[in-house]
Parts: sequence; structure tokens; C-alpha cells
Amino acid sequence: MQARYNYKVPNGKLLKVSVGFEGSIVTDIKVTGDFFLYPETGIDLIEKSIKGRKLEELQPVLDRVVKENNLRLFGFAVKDLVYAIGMAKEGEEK
Amino acid sequence: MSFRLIIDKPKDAFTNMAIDKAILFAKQEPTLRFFQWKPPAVSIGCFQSLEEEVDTERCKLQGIDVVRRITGGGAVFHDKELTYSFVIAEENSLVPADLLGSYEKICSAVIAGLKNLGLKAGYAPLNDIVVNGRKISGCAQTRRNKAILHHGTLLMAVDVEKMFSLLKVPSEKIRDKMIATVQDRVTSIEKELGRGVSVEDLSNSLKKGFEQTFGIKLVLGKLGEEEWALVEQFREGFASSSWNNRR
Repeated sequence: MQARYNYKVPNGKLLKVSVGFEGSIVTDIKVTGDFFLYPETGIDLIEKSIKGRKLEELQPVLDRVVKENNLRLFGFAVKDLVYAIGMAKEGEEK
Repeated sequence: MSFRLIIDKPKDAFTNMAIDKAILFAKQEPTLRFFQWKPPAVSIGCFQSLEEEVDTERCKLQGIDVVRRITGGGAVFHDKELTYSFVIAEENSLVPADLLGSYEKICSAVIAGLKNLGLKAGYAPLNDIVVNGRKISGCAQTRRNKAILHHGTLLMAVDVEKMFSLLKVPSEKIRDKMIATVQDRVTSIEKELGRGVSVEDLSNSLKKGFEQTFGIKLVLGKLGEEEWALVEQFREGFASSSWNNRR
């Protein structure tokens, strides 16, 4: 079952995550919303890099993907995405 | 310095989006284009879920086009509005290289255009323009092929009930806006001026706003052959289910 969380980033845009978990490992993820990301193809890199990772690995993994691919996030930051995924996990456990 | 000005007749959503993309991918001649949508349309941002954002069945029943943009941002109902698109090379120093700076600069041209109409508008980061605290214009930008495509809407009149009957607006978004109701979030030129404005008058005011802000002269032109060939190619993609349902 997919866990979901919608996070309106303060002074930013809306991040909607739909996440599949096995324990603390993310098995599937879809990130949607009204945010901006340049280049737009970066969303595929972000989603791919998240799959198979533990929650606590996400911040450094995503920081590296953003840096290595010169991705520019507008309306959200990596920490916001990690937060949204973490909240989806918390919601799943309730 | 002169830039090309294109004033288009109303077109369907897929053609409109194909034209913007064609201008971006073709010669990269700096271009300001004004256009409208016939039939009315809903466009969604490239990262949005069509299913979550739009009541597609209702759109279909009402003959309203639905299209996914190549730019991010939110869902928009294009009806009584003027839409603009601005294409410029990334290396052109008239537009700041940083994202926020570029949004602000291009929005300031729209704000100058609204001032020419007698409206006091302001930039509301990241991608809105407001009058009296209410959104009158939204915009979105992409950067491809070493060029910037920045397009946005200007609400001439607004039918909030119809707009939000087609869009599924997330409550989180509304909550953060400090505005109690959906009706309070948006305004229009008609509402703010207390009178309607013709497309021609609004286009002229905006044209002057861009000329004043960028220190350019806008010269009326049209799409070239290469661009029309790209429009045909891109239109098919914008009308396809695989593109519009991709997220």
C-alpha cells in the first residue's frame, strides 16, 4: 500500500509524495506537485535514486544527485522532500 | 535592440503549447507572444498528477481542453484571460541568470504593463503577481536548449465557481495563503478596474511594459517555417494521452 503525504513548503510550493515502504526502505515513490525543477527530467533521477534506500540515507543521496546533475530546485529543497517522505512513513505507522 | 512580437488568434490548448515549445526550440529569436485559448482549457504543471488535479470528465462534458505543460507550477483554467509567453536566450544579460531574479524581472515587465492600465500590482514570489493582495497573474518557466521559456496568464475576468469546479484545489495550498475562501484568492483586471478591458488594450499595455522594462522595441512578426514544422510535430505530443497522463 502506498503511503501519502502532502506538504506545502513554507514560502514554497506543494510537494505530494506517494511512497511504498518495506520496513524503512523505500520501494516505490512518486513525487507530484506544483513545484519547479530544472531541468525537469531531474525528477526521474530523484525518484530513481530514492528507491531501495533507507529513510536515513535519503538526505545525502539526494544532495549528491542534485549536485552531480546540476539540478536546480525552485519552491522546495531536498530537506523538504525528505521531510515529506518521513511524514508519509509516520502516517503509515499510525 | 528589437525583439519579435507575435499576436496570435485564439487557438486550442495543444497548438498553443506546441507554439511555445517550437519558439523555444527553433531559432531562439527573442519573442513575446500574446495568445488566448479556444476552446477554454485547463493546463497543469509538468510535475502534477492529472488525476489528482483536474476533473477530466467534467472538462470533457463541457468541451474544455486539458493539457500538460512543459513548465512546472500549478493547474490553471484558461478562459477569460490573456496569456503571454516570453522566450529569450539564457545568455542574454537582460534577464538575470538566477531563477528568482529571472522570474522577478519578467514579472516586473507584466507589472509595468498593468501599471499602464492604472493598476498597482506587485510580484509575489515565487511565481505570482498580485493586486490588492489577490492573485491576478501566475507564471511558469522552463529552460531548454540554452533558452528560457517563461509563460503566464493575466486574468481579464474570473468565474471562480467554474474554475474551481474543474480544478481539484488541495486544501493545503489554500490554507497557506492567508485568504479564507477560494473567491478571495484571485482577482481580475475587470474587478480591479471596475470595467472590462479589451484584449487589444491589454496587449498594448503589456507590450509597452516589456519595452519599458527591458529597454527593447517589440516588432510585430510571425512564426517562421521551421517553427511551424516544429509546431506540427509537438502538437501531436501535447494532445497525446501518454504525455498528459504521464504523472
